[in-house]
Amino acid sequence: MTYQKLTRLSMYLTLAIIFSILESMIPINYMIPGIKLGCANIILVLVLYQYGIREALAIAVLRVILMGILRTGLFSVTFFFSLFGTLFSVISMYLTKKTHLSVIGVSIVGAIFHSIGQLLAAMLFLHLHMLIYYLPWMILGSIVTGMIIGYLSQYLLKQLEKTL
Amino acid sequence: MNKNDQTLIGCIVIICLLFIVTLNHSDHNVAVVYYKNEIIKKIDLSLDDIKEYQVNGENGIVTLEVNRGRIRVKDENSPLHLCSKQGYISKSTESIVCLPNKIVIQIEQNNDIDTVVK
Repeated sequence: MTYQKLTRLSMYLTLAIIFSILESMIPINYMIPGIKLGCANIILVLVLYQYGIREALAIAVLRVILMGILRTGLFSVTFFFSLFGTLFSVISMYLTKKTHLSVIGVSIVGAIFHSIGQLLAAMLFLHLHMLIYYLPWMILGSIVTGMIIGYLSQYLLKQLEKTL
Repeated sequence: MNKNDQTLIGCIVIICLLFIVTLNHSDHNVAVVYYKNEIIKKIDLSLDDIKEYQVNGENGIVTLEVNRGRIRVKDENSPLHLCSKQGYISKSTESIVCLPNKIVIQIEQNNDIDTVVK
């Protein structure tokens, strides 16, 4: 691993954590309770496209662990929610990246599987099986947030290619 | 955004809407039947089959019919037959009032899921 790569990945990790903290300060309970933009997903998309699955997974897991230490508490229920969500998201984005979808499509799939992962965690740990009825609403919300994140990532990827 | 993205979004939206529409029918509503302001029967509307129930009203037997999450008064004895003409109700804001029979049917939500996950 070169120094350049190490530095960039550390910067990405820092940014991801900053995004997560900023986002947890702004509660958006509009229409669908619990929905949020998921700005940290921009970083995951960028890393996935610039480096690969291994780096993206590392950033994702490290972000969840660090956020756990900073905010929610390590190995708490919310920690597992985030962990499940992020892992589902990264792996699904890696798989869909190989298809003919653009960054936006990949980002939408990532957002949807983030919701699915979190719901699975909720059903596993809290035994809230009724939550499955909530899934379609969450997926509809994920399409919107995934599209916003996708456009932002697409723009950033283009700009970063020019400068880096 | 290319064509593939658009088809993907379209497919997912359609599937979601289908799920929402089908799941809304079994919204775990309970029809509560009152006679003279007392609860005489509670009927779970999430059961999917067609079923008839009979309760005693002021003017004789009132027949209720449950059909896929909806309930109506099928048969009753009253001067104007207003409540059987009203037809099916299914939402938790609706109710059927049978004044001559002193029967009120109200749909209430079965609030088992109160937890909001952040």
